Amino acid sequence: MTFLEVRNLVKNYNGVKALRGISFDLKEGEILGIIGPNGAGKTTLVNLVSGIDRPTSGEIILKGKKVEGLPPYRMAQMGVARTFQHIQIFPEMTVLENVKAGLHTRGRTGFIASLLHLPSVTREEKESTHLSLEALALVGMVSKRDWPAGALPYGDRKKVVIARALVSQPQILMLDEPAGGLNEQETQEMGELIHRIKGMGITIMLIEHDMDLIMGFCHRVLVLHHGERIALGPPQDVQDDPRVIQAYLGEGF
Amino acid sequence: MRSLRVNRLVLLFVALVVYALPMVIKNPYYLNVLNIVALNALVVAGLTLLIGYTGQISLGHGAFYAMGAYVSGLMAIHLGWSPWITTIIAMGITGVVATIIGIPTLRLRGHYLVMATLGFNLIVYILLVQLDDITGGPSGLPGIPSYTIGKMVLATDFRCYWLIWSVTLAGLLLSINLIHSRVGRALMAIRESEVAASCLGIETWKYKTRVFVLSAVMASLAGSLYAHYMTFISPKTFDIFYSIEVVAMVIIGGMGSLWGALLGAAFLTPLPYLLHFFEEYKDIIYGAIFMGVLIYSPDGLVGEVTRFYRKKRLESRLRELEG
Repeated sequence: MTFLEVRNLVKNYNGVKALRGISFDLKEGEILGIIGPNGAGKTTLVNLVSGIDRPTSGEIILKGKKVEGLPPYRMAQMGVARTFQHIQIFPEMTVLENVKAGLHTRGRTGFIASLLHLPSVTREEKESTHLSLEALALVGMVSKRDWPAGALPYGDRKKVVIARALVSQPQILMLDEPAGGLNEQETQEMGELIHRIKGMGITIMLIEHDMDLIMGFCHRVLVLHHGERIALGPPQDVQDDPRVIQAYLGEGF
Repeated sequence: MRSLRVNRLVLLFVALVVYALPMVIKNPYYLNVLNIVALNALVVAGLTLLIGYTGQISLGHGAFYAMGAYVSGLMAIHLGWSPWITTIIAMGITGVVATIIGIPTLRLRGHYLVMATLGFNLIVYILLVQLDDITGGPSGLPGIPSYTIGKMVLATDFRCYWLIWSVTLAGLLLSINLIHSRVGRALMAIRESEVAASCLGIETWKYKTRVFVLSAVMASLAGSLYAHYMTFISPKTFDIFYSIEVVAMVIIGGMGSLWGALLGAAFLTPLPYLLHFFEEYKDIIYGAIFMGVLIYSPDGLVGEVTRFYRKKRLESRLRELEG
């Protein structure tokens, strides 16, 4: 079943054409890798699907519903979760609070109930602590639950924001360079983590420069170059595609 | 929620101290200062939620304080309604006004709220001075009725002490509840990264507007209490400098903590009285203290207290290990 459909997506930033008509679809439970040289439009694509930016034209269809131009909180409510290349952890909140914040769409407690601390609040707090600890266990960060997130080393922060995105059990998870800036061992750990997430059956869009991760996990790979789609297919086919080789290595190869 | 329990215990301790103080301090002058401390603490607690927890700055809370005082005071004088009722009406009206200011400005990212609130405070101040037929103008509004409970009129500093401090402690309790909840986490998330917060499904403008309205309503409540306690109000109390003073209390107390609100108010409110002897030098000293705290203790008085406490705990643990 087609889960996410992107049709002729165009994005111009003050005349700079970041995306020039991208189309692809994503099936339920599929892992789609997105690669391309820097400036190819990968993050722009994620920003459009997560609602941070509005497309200049084109359509984004999530489970049969047109969703382009909706604000990010609406996309999150519909089960679209993402991480950021620049992490965007909440540094002054604890690790546990960071992950609990990820449960926002699952909770109901409003202002009045919170102020009065109604019994329903206590129940919901217990439930969200429980779910958050489960998510932290998945990324192996339970022991640091009470750390201020800003005090964590880089690799740990990346794990926490993945737990924060996963805890709400999203329908689709977009990972923007999860292994970016990690050393070899951390990258391997990240690979194992993505493997576990894959086992949960979540549909994933994975932006990555690490080719081992892309080749190891993705069902299909979308290659962007200068805002255009130059290839889409199984990892092996894409790797051998002469246009892809040219985009990465330049002419003459 | 361990920290919720700890904070409530601290509040209980503060309440015991607060209610025990009048047995020691009988001088009405000191009680008056303590009452003003409580009123400021209530305004500052709301502002701490807005500035410290949500990261949105207002320089116009003096105007909401004024609205509470004048709306409630005028209605009680001219309509003869019970001050309890007029206090609640003033809170409602202030809430509506804050919503009208908040909705357009908080939809935008950036510091538009500072500008809007600053402008609003100037407008309110000018209206209070110029509409002298209604407000009494610069010479003020006398004859505001006191609160009454049955036949007892809350007209003395001592009686108002119980009322004002009880309201402030209740305000602190509600604020503590708020920050240890889904809503509190949403507010902090907005402060830390608005983009990341919205990608978690948090409707940032809605939360920003609501916490702004809440803080305005708390200021209005404090203003009404002030009016019916002092029975006389004048525009001077509610000028832009009051708005700056309460923001200073938020910062000096320690932005990330509601206890900072209490400490900031307790520290800065009596300062002008203490510096009274220095006459015109008092503003310089005031400014120097402010700068000193910002440079040497950017997380405020609460930061100093927690650091002291942590150090003690560490020392005792080290002693245990050695012994």
